[in-house]
Amino acid sequence: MPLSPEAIRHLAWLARLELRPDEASRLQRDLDGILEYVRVLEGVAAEGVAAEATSGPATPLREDEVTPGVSPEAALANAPERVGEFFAVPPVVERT
Amino acid sequence: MSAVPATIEGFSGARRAGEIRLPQVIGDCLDRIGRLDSEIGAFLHVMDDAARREAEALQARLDRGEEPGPLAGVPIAVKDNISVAGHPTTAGSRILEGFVPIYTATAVARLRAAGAIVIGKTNLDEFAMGSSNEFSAFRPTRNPYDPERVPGGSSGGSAAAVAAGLALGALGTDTGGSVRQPAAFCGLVALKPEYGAVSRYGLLAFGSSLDVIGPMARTASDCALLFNAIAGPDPRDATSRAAGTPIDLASLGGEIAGLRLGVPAAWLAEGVDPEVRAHFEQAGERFRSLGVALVPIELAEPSACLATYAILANAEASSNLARYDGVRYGYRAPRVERLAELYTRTRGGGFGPEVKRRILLGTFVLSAGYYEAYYAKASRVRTRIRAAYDAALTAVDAILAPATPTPAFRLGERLDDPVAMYLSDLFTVMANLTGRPAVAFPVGRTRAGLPVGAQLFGGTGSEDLLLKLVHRFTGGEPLALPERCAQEERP
Repeated sequence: MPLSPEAIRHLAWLARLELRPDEASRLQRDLDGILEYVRVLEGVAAEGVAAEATSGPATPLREDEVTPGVSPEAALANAPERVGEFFAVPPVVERT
Repeated sequence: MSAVPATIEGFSGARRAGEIRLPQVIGDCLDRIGRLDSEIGAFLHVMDDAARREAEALQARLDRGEEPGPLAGVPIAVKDNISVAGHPTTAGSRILEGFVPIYTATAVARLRAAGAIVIGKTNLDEFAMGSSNEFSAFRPTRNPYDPERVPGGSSGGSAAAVAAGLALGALGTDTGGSVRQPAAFCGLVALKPEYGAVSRYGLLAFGSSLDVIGPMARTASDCALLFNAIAGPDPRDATSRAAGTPIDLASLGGEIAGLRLGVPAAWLAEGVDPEVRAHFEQAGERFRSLGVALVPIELAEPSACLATYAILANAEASSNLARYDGVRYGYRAPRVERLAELYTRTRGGGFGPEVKRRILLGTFVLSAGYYEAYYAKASRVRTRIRAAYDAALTAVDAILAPATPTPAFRLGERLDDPVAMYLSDLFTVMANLTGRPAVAFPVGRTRAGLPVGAQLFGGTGSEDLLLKLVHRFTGGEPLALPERCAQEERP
């Protein structure tokens, strides 16, 4: 079933992506084409098969030891905007 | 001007014999980049001063009788989604314009510890998403064998740099074929190591269950040298594992007679270019002449693998790329008044068309109501694909397949058709889904002079076996440099 313009807008919001109107219609067409291609999986049986992302041993845990980390200055070196030792962003809520 | 040797082995031999001095040869290499790369577009950042200083320092150590390592002085290019402290790292994206990492990737640190000189960061499809390098936000890369054609992707800059003789080896990354497909288009040998064999600390993540860093070079021996330098567990990457013992370079020339290669004959029906097919069949004959048995096998449909990959890789990408939000590094949209708007406008303005396409696709397959039909289904199919490969590899030593359905295509040819672009990876994605090693290598050139590649898939820990097969197949010889680049260097 083709994706609707509303569905594209909803996905863009979930992904926090601002799209221009021309981009949204282009992406709608592209996604329809890709989803049509992946329909080939409808013919592949996989019921009862476990989903295993990778094979091999489980990710090991390291010892719980304190090791050197990144200094505040280094962590902030690429900050677009900072205030003291903080990353600065626009307001989240209105001041009252 | 002295000629820069064509391979790492040749370079190291000349260096040990005192025939080249590092400041001179690195200077020549950088000059060559200056002359040729305005057309090719392999590099996004050249580390001119740093490379010259390292060459001076390494030569001083050699002159004192020290041995700085097996890659002493070798000029290496690094794909620009791998961090090198103090040098810009963009991943080919506007959203990371101006970003300078504060740490160096383990793979790069290990190359340097072996004596290599990193000479620059190479162009790529934005965040490694693409098969042609045309999705670089900065400029496309051109194929050194034909500048009207793409070098492949997403490690297209690394491939073009090595193919044009601008570096003797390179690091690329492979999520669905991104070292092997460009290697096939540019006449190189490229190894996709086993998942976890190389630390990903400092790699900008794309698909975390698929991504691996791999070496690209002009011969199997050179790939082995680079792999030996970068492989091994790393406390900074919990997914890294103990790889097999280092590859013994001398063993690459060993006997391959009696080995059995499985050939998935059905793959050749899948829209394979007639010249690619002819070269592939000749490659099979050559293996036979070396005493290797070819055995027809059946494997999962490549189209089912590609569909599985498209769902899983982009689901993971949509999660991994959530971090680019304009808060901590890189581009931030100007003149925004609310935090939500900062996110949407930074990402809308900072990401290019292919990245947006993949983020939306990944968001879709993970979203409520579709997760089960797409992501969960694909995850189960992956398990089946891996089981089928491992089963096939109990009856044969490795699998021989084409690397790509076609040789390098023209710039612009697939830019407006995402599915046509994804089909470039039709024969490569399965190695990422299984996690097992694979290698692409040159088997000839088309009548128009374009390189044609083939591919070998192996079982767990088979990097040495795959490179041995390639070494014997090629006789250890690299494909000739593109005529345009060879003439430029060697009058």
